[in-house]
Amino acid sequence: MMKRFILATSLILAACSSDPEASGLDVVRNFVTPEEYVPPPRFTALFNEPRPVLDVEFTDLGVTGKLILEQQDGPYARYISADLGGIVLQKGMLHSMYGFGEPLAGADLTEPLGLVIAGRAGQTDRLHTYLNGEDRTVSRTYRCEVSIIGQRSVDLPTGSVETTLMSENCHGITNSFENLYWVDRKRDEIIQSRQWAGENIGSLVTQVTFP
Amino acid sequence: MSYTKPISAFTAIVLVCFGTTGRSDPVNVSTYGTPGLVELPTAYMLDEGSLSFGVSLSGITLRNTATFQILPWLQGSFRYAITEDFGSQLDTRYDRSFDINAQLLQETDTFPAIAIGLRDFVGTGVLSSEYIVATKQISNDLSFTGGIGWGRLAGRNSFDNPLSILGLNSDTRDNVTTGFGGQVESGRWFQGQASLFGGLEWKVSDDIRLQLEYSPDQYITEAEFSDLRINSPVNAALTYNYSDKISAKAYTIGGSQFGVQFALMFDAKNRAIPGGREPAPTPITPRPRNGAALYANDATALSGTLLENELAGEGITLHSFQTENTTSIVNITNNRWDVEAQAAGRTARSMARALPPEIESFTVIFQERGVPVSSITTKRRDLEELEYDYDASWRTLARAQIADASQPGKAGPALSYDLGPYTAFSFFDPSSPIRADFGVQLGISYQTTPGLTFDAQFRYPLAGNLDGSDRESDSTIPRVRSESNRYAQESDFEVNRLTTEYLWRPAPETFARVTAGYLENQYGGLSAEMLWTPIESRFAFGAELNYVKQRDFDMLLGFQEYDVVTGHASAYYDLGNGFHTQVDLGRYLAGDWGGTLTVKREFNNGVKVGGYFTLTDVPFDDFGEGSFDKGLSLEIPLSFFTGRPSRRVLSQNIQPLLRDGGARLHVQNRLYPLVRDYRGPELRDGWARYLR
Repeated sequence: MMKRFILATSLILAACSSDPEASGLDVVRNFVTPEEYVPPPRFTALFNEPRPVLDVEFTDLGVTGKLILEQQDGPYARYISADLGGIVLQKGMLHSMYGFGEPLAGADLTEPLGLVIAGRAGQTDRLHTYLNGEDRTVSRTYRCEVSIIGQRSVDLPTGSVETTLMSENCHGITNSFENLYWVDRKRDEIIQSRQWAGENIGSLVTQVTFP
Repeated sequence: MSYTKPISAFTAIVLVCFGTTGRSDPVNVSTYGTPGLVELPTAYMLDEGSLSFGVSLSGITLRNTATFQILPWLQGSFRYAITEDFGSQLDTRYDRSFDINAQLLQETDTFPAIAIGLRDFVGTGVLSSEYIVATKQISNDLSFTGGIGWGRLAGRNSFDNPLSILGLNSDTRDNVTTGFGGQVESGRWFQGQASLFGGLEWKVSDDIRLQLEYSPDQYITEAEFSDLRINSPVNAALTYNYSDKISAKAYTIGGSQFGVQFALMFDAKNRAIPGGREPAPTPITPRPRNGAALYANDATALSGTLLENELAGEGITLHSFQTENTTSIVNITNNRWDVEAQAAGRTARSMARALPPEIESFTVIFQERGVPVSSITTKRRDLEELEYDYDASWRTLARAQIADASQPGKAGPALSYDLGPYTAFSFFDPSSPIRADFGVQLGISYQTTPGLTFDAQFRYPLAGNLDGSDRESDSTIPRVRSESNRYAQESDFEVNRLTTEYLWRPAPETFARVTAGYLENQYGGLSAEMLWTPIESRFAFGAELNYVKQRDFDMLLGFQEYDVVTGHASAYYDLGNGFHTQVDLGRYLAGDWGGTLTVKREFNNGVKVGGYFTLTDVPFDDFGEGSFDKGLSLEIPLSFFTGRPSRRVLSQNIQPLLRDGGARLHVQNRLYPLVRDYRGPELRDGWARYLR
């Protein structure tokens, strides 16, 4: 019996696999006692040059933190976190999310973004596409009222920025929400906001700091 | 730049999954594990796709029940009950039973929900009853249930069967079990006397509910063998709903018996972590602004190396890379992604990052064990154009080409191995309902050329009681499975498999396999199979022929005398709406001829709940206990719980009785399950994750 116990212990400690996707034991081991997280090179490499940083607070969950810009594609800014969660902003308006518990796959923001950036009031539609629990896309349309609240100064680590504060009140069949945007008048871009992401995580507050 | 407080996607996810305890009027289950009060059923259903696991322990019996909501109006249950000191020998009784319950009418503002149900309708019928029940919620806190029952539910104040006008028996019910049990006892349903029953559920607070009921069940069968007397018809329970998924209950039956119950609900329709927590995909860099891209400048070899590294980071093995004009073609094996379309999407993204700007078209060929299965061709500019489209999944699917890939495979020699622990289970042995072994397992696989693979698996059990079953087979037909316990008893070091396998594509839309050697724990020999599966079809047809010999009980290299030619013709059909069926007709291991029907409810996230039965020319009496082979299966992808993509699937078959009739060979890598996930319908079903 003792021999078997020693054999079992040593073999389990020596458990190994040629499969980089981990042996069965690794799966269990990592799930039960996750090793201290080391950010991957894809994330750390971004610190080689000055990049915009996105401060995020998930207001309903009480979680805050920072993401860094991975790539700017025209109006789309892709930010990633240390554990490679992702947030895509379109001129500062929330477009899609990866890995934060809210499967927002994409959004058509053409109408609200047009009014908000231009600092004009009016009625718009916005479209969100989510992934449901069965990996199928579900689209939601919201009717929104964009309003001008007024001029505001926003204090960023790099200095004070003059903005126009805009609000967007949206109603859909299943949800209603209010978004707030602080639009940098020089950049024509939202630098601070409170936006609703979806049913799972609710709203988030964002602030972009440019280098 | 300061970077002091990284946000963790994982933290957010944990809070999403566990930070809230949704409590949207949970449906509670009875001691029978189906929606109900204390013992009585209600007319309510669980949410579609819900799997409820309930354990109920009283002084009388222990009931373990799994209930699955197959359709919004239809649910099925499997129960394993243990009753001590039962029967003329006062033995412990282990009873397997199945229920089915259908909601005929949904509840409205004015009308109650109405359901009809059969309890223990297959089997020995100890728990058998039938009922028609109505439930109406009359306020936010109170609902009433009333109904009429037959069988066990016709004990107290019974009266002549009102269904006698339909020709059903009015006052007697045939309680004799046909043969060895396990048969559908339709001749008993709604027969004999009937009784009325009723009860209420009161929501005392958000998480506490009180159930009171008038039950006609007098436990007459159990009372025959004991001094058990249920004198009062009133049962009561107090339920604590920790969430809409977890509940605990304390109850009394007739005021003289007390019990506790625990129920856990699993929602197969929703991944535990919404959207998953795989790393965000790398960006597709539009070519006019290629500053950040990894493009190789010109050399094809350099592009291939870049691509290989990119793909390795995504858990994808690159076997070959070639460029024809402006099209690049890659042959890959997906080692990570349980949604295959997502593997195709990640590969296309990697190609967009690594390949020179003049490449306009990407073709991804999926290989399994070195053999091409299908190809997906995507235009590079479609990826660039649609990456941020709100309807990107539909639009990229409309523009992609999914095709069969029947050309020869491309792969160099590859050795893989896996050394680690294993567990093996055996269920429903009467002397110990759950048996298990724990030990060490070594798997080795060497693929020499595409399709040709040598596989071996060895096990060494270190602890457990699989070898503790001393049940001797009483089978009167060849003992092809009923001596499984002898393999555990008489072996030490186990050679589970030692095979040579060749897979190839004999023609378009067609796959073929030949496997020789020690095919499984109990049989060795030769197995050959062909599969015809048109890339876009919901149909597939296959045929398999095996010559096998029974292995020695020591699970080493020797054989016993028994040999048999066994094989099946199989038809597979995706019925749509999440249902899949398979029909196998042919000759089984004991030389018996017959067929197996398998039906599975498949959720698009990979969860599968299924059932099957096999009827062969072995008479029910010769088959023995259970009369014919039947069982249930449950498969849940590991990623369902962890949110991390993985090809691993947690699966469990529940075969109530392991007998010799209708037994099949367990050969590895049957073609349909091997290739199905990479064919057109499955790739399209997963396309919502193509760009995730």
